[in-house]
Amino acid sequence: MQGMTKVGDGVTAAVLRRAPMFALLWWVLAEGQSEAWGLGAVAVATATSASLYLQPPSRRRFSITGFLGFAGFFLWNSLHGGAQVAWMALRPRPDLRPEFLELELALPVGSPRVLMLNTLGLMPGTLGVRLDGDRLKLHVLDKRLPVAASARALEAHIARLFGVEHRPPGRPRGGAVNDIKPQSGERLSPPSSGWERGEGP
Amino acid sequence: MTEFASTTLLLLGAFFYFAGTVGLLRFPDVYTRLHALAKADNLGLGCLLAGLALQADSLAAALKLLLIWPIALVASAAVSYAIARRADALRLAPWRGEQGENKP
Repeated sequence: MQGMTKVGDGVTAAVLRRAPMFALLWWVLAEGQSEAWGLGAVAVATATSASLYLQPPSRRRFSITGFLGFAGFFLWNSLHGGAQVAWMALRPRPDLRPEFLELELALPVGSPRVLMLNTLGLMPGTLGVRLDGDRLKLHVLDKRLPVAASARALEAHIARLFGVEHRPPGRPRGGAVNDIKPQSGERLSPPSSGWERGEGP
Repeated sequence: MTEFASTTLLLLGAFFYFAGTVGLLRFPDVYTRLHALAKADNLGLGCLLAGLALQADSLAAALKLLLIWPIALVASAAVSYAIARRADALRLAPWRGEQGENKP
């Protein structure tokens, strides 16, 4: 347990960091109207105290450079992912090679994993299906794409954003393509179960 | 110039919405359809909001439009994960190509 003064300092620092963010948010929501600030003060105070309750101040700090790096990576990849899936949908033959893959997450439990799971669905070709402990089941649209490498890159960006360690299993750094393996053993039901309505050429 | 950029972004947004809907109709199973919706529609929304923000009256109004994007992204990411997880829990097999055609 920390001493009372330390906890108190942490709370004050968190209030000083968070209240301006909520005030900025209110300014945006009110579209800059100054007469709304009475209600705004109440909203900012309520939001700040709710945030302290829901996300108590911790030593884990959000890094600004990490955030910019992540935002750039995310924007670029959602453009790439959207354009790719648009092309796949519009081309004469969809030519998909879907597959389930399993990825061992190298991020700590909590917000980093939640962010990873959620952003994966917007990255090119991947969709999070189920998180079981450390193992994340992914659905990929085309198994010929280098999805493992891009999932690891996303993971590294998230690790930097939260200032946590990133240790992919197997190789210490880089592509780490081999630690992602098809779930060939997991034929959930025969391919001709009538569920799929293959719209071929 | 701003007018042109805004129009281009709005048209791009419409294009990605169109592509996402075509994907929803053409793709073979629930998982692949989620890919189309999550990615293409979110990019469409992003383009649409950026195009509208360029025409906004004030900085605050433009930021408010842009704020919609991350919030909608969070909702859509959570919903597509929820649908995919449910489909998996119901043991819906993913589509693996035409019989005998899609073998590596």
